[in-house]
Amino acid sequence: MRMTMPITGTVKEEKPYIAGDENDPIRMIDIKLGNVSWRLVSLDLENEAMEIEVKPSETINDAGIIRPTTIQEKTQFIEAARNWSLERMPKEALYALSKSPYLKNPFKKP
Amino acid sequence: MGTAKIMGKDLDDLAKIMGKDIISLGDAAVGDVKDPKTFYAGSTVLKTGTMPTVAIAAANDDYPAGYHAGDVGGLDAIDADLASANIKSGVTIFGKAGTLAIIHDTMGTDISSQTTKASANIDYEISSQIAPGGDTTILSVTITLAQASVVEGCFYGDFRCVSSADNRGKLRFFIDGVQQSESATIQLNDFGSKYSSANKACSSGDRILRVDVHSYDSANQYCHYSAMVFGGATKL
Repeated sequence: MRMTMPITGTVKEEKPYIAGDENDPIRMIDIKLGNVSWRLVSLDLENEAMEIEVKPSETINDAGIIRPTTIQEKTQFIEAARNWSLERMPKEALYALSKSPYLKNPFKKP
Repeated sequence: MGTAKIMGKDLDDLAKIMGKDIISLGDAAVGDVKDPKTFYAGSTVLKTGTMPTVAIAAANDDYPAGYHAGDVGGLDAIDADLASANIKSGVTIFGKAGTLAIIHDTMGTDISSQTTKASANIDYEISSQIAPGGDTTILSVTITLAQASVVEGCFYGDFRCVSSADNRGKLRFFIDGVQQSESATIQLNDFGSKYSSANKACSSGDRILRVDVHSYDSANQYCHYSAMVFGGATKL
């Protein structure tokens, strides 16, 4: 499932390729998406957002025992993560909740 | 040493006749002039330089005082080991920018020797201590791409907190300071089932691959983290 998240960090280069500051990398805001993994699909510096492909975890810690996640649990994980996305919440609210600063982009035109 | 004469007269005397002081203009000392070259300075007495001819050598780092003939081939003509491939990436020695990929863990230990493949591969195991409740970089490696390539990384891990029940964390993977992926929550004894992986098309040049561990342990305890790292680059 794909969703869009705000980003934080500092842009070091925009051309010929996008690079972040190693001391403050371009990354997703500090929000706990839960027991899911994700991969970057695309980066949108103009709108300070990244599109990510989210997958639920294949295992869960059930009272100290690691077992495979059920289909229902996987659906719950995805839904829980989606609640923290720009598709479901305003950008300003997500920045406020995460306490992450807005993206610093010295190349952005006013 | 001798005294310069022209038509039987000392140069000093000739200079005085001409109302000039031509000989004493020089201010070199014998130590300033290469041995055995001769010169006049301060008097009409012909002097011989004593500056020794010396050279630097690859065998040691001595830099003796004296006359150096030099080498148009540069310092690397004297010691071929002075090469970019032998110098750590990010370090420049005598104008030679290093390209050697150095892999280090967060404890500052150079574990480059654990990599047996080409510099574009980063397969190895790592074990590190993680600071509580935050992000810790466990791997930072610069790979130099001769041409546009797809850079890939895949990272597995396991948490073992010393005295905390919260053995949870996540792996975060970055290329050139841009987050590429994040693993699902990794827990104790869950090795291998959770990973962070990504691949990205990159242009040629130096690319920085980095793996961070985010610890959920807020009990102010340090965790030990073990990770297997697989990565590399494939030309486009």
